[in-house]
Amino acid sequence: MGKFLIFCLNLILSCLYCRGQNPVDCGSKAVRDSLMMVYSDKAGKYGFNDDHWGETLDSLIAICPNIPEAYQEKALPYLYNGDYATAFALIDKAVEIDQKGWRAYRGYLNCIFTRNYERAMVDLRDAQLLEPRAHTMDHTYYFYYGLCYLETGQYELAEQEFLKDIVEQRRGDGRNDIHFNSLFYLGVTYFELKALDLAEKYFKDCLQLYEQFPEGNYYMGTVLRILGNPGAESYFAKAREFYNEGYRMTEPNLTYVTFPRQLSLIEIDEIQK
Amino acid sequence: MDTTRIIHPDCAPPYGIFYYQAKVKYPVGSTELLAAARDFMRSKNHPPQASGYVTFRFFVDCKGTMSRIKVMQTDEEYKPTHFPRDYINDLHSYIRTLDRWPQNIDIEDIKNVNYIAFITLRIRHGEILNILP
Repeated sequence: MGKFLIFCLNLILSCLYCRGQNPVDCGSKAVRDSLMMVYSDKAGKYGFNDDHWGETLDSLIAICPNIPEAYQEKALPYLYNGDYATAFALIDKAVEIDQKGWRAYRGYLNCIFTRNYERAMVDLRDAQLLEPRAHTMDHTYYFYYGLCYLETGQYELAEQEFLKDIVEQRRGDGRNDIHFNSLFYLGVTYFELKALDLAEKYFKDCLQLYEQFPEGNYYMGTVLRILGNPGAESYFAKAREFYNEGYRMTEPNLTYVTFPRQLSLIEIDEIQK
Repeated sequence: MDTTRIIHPDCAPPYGIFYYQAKVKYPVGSTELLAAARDFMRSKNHPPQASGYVTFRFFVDCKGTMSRIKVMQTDEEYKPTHFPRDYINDLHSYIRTLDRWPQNIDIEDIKNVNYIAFITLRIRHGEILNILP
């Protein structure tokens, strides 16, 4: 009887102690970061096609609903599988929690994943106001503005943005290499503006940094063909050869999306006919 | 839309493999696909209408045959919506014309895998603006 009473007392005290314990401090960045690391690792063991991926992140959201990365990671399988309603509802939640951290990323998704250029520019402008010189997904905001204008046929504006992107990359001692895709898209912009000499210059600069770039070779060939330069065909041949060797445009997420002006082998073959 | 899954007898069992795990994309570039889709839909003479995204997600067996097609529709703000049924039916007919899906793909020890892929059409007032992914 005595032992039973002690057991009951212990049980009651334990419950009272549990109730009195401080809850997880979701207001602390250190706590949020630690939780995110633990739960992200756990979700990663399943992979994002497994139901446990979302369930694991839901568990984290139940503990601390103010961790934007949890919503962003939960959105990934939906984003990669074309369920944009679910994906963007989650991304919107991440942005709502942390505008500064996630607004530009949503702009990137609007620009690259869903080609929603109007919404992309709104997000990027707002992100730039919050963090003027930041980058997202390997590029300056100007790069994505440039893509938005290029793909909506506003070539003069695209030119201005890509030039700003290059100036931004040269910031400092001015000796940094410029990202070859910045040079490529500026070349495409001049190609669209029919400024073929400038297009040739930028494709040449691009190929100096990434000689095996299939799209760079293809567009260089296209410019030279229009200029009547017999060297054009060798660039088309290189585009095909390097494509077949496995060289591709290099950007994050190319497994899931096609970048503007990215080519298929069928398109490369067709121009050689 | 189509709930029946078609699998050729030579194919592997229908594991939940996605296009990115099989490392495949539809081999025709989006510019050419877009032109073909626009031609197809213009021939149907739909009046200007809704804007947004229509996604067809489907199963592709190891012989490149599409089946079990699911359709998802959102507006331009990515909120669920519905386009007119005859418009969706015609988009579905266009999707059905895509017959060059990569075939006989192996993933490690699994021969002739099937995979799940999708095509999204970005639409403004009934005109197709882009084809994704």
